[in-house]
Amino acid sequence: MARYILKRLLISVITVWLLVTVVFILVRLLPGDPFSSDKLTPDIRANLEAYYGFDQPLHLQYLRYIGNLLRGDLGFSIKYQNMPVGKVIADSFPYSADLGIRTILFASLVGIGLGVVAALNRGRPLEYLCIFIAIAGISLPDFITGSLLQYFFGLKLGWFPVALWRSFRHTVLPTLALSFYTLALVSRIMRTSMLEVTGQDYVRTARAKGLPTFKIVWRHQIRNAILPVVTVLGPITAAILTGTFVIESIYAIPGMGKFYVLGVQNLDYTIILGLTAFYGIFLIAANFIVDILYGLIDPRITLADGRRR
Amino acid sequence: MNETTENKRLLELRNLRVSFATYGGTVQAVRDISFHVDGGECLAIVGESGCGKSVTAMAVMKLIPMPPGRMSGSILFKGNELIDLSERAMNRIRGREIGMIFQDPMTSLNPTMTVGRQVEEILAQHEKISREECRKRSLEVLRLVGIPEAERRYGQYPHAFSGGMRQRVLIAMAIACRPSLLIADEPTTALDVTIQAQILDIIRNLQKSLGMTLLLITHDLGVVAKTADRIAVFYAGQVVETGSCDAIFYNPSHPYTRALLGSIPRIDATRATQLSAIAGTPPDLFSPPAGCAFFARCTRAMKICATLAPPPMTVGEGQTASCWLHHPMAGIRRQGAVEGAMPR
Repeated sequence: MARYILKRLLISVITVWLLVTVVFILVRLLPGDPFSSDKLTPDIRANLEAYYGFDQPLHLQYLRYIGNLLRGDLGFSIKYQNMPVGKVIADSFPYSADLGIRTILFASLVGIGLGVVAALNRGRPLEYLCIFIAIAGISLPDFITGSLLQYFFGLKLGWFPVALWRSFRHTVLPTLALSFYTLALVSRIMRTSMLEVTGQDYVRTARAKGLPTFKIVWRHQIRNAILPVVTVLGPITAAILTGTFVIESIYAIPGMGKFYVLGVQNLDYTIILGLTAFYGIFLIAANFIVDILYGLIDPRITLADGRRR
Repeated sequence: MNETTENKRLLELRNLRVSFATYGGTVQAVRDISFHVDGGECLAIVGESGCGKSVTAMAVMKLIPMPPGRMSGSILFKGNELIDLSERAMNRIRGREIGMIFQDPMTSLNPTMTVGRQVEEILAQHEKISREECRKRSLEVLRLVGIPEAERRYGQYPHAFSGGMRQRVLIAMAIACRPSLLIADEPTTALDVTIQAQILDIIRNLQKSLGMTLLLITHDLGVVAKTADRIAVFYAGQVVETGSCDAIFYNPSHPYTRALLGSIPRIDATRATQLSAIAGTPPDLFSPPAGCAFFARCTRAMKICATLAPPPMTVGEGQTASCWLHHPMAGIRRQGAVEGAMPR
């Protein structure tokens, strides 16, 4: 196990390094630079470039950036004055994480529930309702659901605030909007997986034991059916993180998404690189947790070359 | 049929029909089956693949998925009708009154639950006992079916068990609540030949020591000869012959039974002897023939066999065969039945 974690850690470091390198090159390949939008005199421009080290050869800039990164220094934002990238993350990430965690919890719980209900009501209207929700969730982009929720529940009915992030009531609409796609995905996977498990011999064995249906579903079916859902939880985390960009701007939530989008618009090199590295590490961690969850859910899965139970 | 035999009937099936609606039409898997199992005995159901053996077993437990399945007729267990029993009432019988062992031990255990818990579960469901008592009893049955180091094995998952060991666990589960009827659906089919005999011994010994009635389903006539008291021969979803083990083996009266016995490979056969097989294939159960189901493959078929299905006819003490050859008007030489077990 320890060996496995060490190996995973090493691979993760290489992944992050590759990610940062590729993004570094891509960002520099983009036309323009952070100062192109401002109307600057050539003198001031040269001054600024010298200040940020942009006058040096690219490989030296790269080496300096990596060196700083290794020391945990993400540098200063180019656009926001006196704003270290680390502070941008520290200030904005809690909002994104809050929204993200709420979304993942809500989406996976409700999604699993819907999937189970759909599978148990095969061929009945309830199944078609669940399938309809799933298709709607996958087909509707989040900026549409986001706006629709604002319009109906915020403006028309006035149940929830239209925007901002202050109390629990503020969190409801953005969480719903961001959950919809994930919820739909999870419910579809769960439904298919449940249907597959229902036909398994061990479910027949459980029935032959005289167990009531809810015990069969709970003990014997859900646990065996949930593995594919856990598999997509990694990519789902990615979907939610990228989803936040749109939802955060629609609902005026001061999360990381806004900084990322603005960073790209302004070609704020340090912000783009810093946030990308942060997201990268985050995703790698999420996938790692998923792998550990596998082993907990299915005893047949042991991590790497560790001893068998 | 006198009063006492009526009383000791543990299970009686009358005119049971099971069909499945599929996209290609309705499969009549079990067509008007009647037989009984007496308390304490072992009845073996034999027949080739697809003749409705397993479906009959599943029907007794009411494990047929409905829809697409449909059942009619009568299943009397201890004199009570099961066919129109609710799921809840049925759950008090499943596992407690009737235990069932399945064909494939590799897939019949839940891979994400420890073996011990899977045994505990059935006890916890049917008996009001404490956790420790439950664990104790579970360990007890695991030892009873011959699982070595039961304590250590208790917390392990099924993937750590071999096929034979898993089948033992399934037997342990099936008998944990001391059911009066044990249904074993091809319990040895998926196992190595060396393990088959062990598992069969365990089942037989448990049947004797716990006083259980055994309904054994198999296509292995060797298993039947060793285990069964009585035999019901199935063909194309019908019972074609019933009788005591001896009667079936020494005096097979239905041409199908004879052909089935004739197709057993003989140990004294020379290399030159070809294995004998029954020519043709079983009828299509989407549209079963109007006459005798075995008509098309029968070497002694008569005109009437094509148009009219034969009812069961008594051919000896407790032995019936559904074959027109045994009709008084057939005037068949009785010795025709005796040439029986010989290969054609």
